[in-house]
Amino acid sequence: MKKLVLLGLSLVTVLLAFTGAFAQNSGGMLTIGLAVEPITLDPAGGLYIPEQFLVQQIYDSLIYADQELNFYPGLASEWSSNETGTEFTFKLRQDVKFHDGTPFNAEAVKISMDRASKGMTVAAAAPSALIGYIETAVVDDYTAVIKFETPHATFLQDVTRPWLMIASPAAIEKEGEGYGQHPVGTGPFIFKEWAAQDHITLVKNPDYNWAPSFLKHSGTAYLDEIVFRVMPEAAIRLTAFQTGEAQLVQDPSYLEASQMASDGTTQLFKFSAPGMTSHQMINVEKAPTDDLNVRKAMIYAVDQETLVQTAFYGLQDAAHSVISPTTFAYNEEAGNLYRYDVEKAKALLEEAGWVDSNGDGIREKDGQNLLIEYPALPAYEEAFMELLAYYLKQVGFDVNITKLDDAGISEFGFAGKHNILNMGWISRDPGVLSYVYLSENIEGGNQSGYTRFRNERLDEIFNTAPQTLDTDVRRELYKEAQAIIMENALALPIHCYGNVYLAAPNVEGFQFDPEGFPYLYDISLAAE
Amino acid sequence: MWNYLGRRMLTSLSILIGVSVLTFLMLHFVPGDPVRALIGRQSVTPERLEEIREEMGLNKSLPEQYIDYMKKVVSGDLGRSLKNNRPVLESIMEQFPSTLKLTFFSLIISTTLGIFLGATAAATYNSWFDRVLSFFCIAGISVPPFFLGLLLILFFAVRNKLLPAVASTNDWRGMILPAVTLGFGEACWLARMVRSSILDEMNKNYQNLARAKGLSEWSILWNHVMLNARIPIITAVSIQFVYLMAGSVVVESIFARQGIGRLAVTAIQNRDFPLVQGTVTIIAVVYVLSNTITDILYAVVDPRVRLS
Repeated sequence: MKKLVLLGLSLVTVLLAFTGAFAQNSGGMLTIGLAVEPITLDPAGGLYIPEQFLVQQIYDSLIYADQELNFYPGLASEWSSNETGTEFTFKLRQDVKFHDGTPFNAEAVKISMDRASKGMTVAAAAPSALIGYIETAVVDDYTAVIKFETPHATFLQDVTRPWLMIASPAAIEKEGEGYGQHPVGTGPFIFKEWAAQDHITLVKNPDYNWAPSFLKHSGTAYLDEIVFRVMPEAAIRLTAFQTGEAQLVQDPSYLEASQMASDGTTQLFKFSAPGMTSHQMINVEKAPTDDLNVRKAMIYAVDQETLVQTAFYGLQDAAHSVISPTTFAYNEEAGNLYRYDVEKAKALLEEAGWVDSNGDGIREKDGQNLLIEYPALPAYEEAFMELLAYYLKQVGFDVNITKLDDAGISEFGFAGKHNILNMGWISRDPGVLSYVYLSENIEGGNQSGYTRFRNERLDEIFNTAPQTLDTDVRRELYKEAQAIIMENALALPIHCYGNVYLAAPNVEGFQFDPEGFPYLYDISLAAE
Repeated sequence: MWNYLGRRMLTSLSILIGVSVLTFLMLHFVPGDPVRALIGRQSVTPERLEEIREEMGLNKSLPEQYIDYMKKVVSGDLGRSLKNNRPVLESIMEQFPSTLKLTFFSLIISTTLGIFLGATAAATYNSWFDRVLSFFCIAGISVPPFFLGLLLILFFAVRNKLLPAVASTNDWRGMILPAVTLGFGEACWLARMVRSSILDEMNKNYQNLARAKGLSEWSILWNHVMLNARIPIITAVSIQFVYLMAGSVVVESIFARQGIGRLAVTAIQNRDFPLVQGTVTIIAVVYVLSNTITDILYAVVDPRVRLS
């Protein structure tokens, strides 16, 4: 009898264990409404949001980072760097295979890094993570050493990004120029097909057993199949979501999305991405913004909280500094320097000698109107450019908006004809500021130094910080850089970049990378 | 007949050459640096910009660039996309079947509906049916496809869930709403066109003869009048084919379908020169082909054309 009871108990335990294992609904297909079609699915060729979203489902990185930027083993089980920060040694997992059956090893790492350092499309993001790259040395089958000319303080951080994920050498060789359309990685999902402008299909990798430990389960992914449908129109993405044709959509129309989320029938996810905020760079060489008081008055004149509420229905966060609060080394003090204050803005303008003498609402000085030249890119700035102009006009500015495309704006800005010009860049590190605030980039470099502001200390920070291995020192350096930028009123912050997703109620298990892109590995579909 | 055909072919060829010159020049006269536009806001050194310009052949003179381009086009090479480096021809061939399918479906809808309604309206000239139809046709022509498309999506997909709104290109059910959206306005236009062509013929003397022979009105309409109204109707259908293809740009975007129209729009936004040139050239070829076929059809159905 006792035996029977024991047997019964163990049966119950076994049953419980089984139900436990199957509590998560395995299987099913998820359709995702994608706003922009990827250019390529080659990590070494990608540059932006759509590539990042897909690449990290198909590939693995050597190291993973969770949302707090803690590192976890990925394809590398251990890693270390030399004291000068110029060489990084990765010990690789030995049990990993690419989707095409090719074994993963140090040679694969070398090939991927070599390609990434060159960049496989004109605008690829990968090369900027490998500046000063010398080579990847294959020490043995499972040890790779990546070498740089100069210390590279953020390299481990960069390794966690999609652009340095590892691709199958056999597939690269086989597909040649067409590799970006036929990607092969080691990730939880296998690329199946890509019908351009229609859909990209990924299927579960049945051999996957090397998920990073911060994700919520191990083994294979739950979903059998993921279909990314390309739907460039926000309204159509929302329609597809309403009809149930897509269960997860990226960047839906904000108004409807915020309404749907508020009635509780859907899940809405929003993230403030780290990196540069969307801000107006202020030209310090062209009048009237050559005057510090005028620049400060502009920042005081804008109510970012109301602006994001009106322009983005609250689905983007207001920004008050040149980088977002979710970025490493965010300087709280610099971010609190300016808050909406019309009276202060007016006082600063008066102090600078700008008064409205003829009563037309626009201030003048020496017969000149207080005119702001604003070249705008409707694709990014449509939502807020008129509002921004409205706030500036409230305190006596006149604003001349010139609508241009990307190339037009670059030319306008390089010629120094602008007073303000929009800028922003999602990145895991504040070092991204140097792209536009290092004085080398005013005339030379990438020619994007649109503030035309020259400051020796700022240059020194941007040149030394990327090579400073001590994290605390680096943090202080970047905090100082933000202070210099904000004290000199070089940036008029607008909003933090946010990734917005709308998900059906039965889509469960969202995990996000530090920039707010979901890992689809943990996602399952609950029975409705 | 052969003489006639030869002349048509020559005209077509010269039109195609004209189109190629125009598309080539248009892109070069658009303000802004294409290399800059391509790179966007990425950080790139001026040296690298120069390199890219050289790779793309943009540092050569315009005539040289045009000759280079035409040499390749003639040998079937439309170049590679600047954005993703895929061969342009491959992208076009991938997208084209979807546009053709949509265009043909819409054409079937617009011609059957248009000819049937137009003929019925003419046969029942001045009746209540004729008047109601006229009213609806004006309405149908006036509603822009993007608006009609959204209304159809709202009613059939969102409210009643009868049809998918954004079905994948391979799903036939996904064809219905886009084809109706695209074909409806054209059907209305064709109905009016058919009605007036028939009415023109109705009052001619051969009809009185037919009536005198004791033929039924229905037989007169289909066997005599339609035969003579064929030329304007063929013209109308051929023009429609091209119109529908142009309209597919909008409809493909609304329903997130594959297609050459959307491909062209994206290419223009990206300033992807080879892709823009490729898509415009292909659309021009189809246009010219359809016109040539129409001209040949004239000659087939009407001896007066081939003898003149």
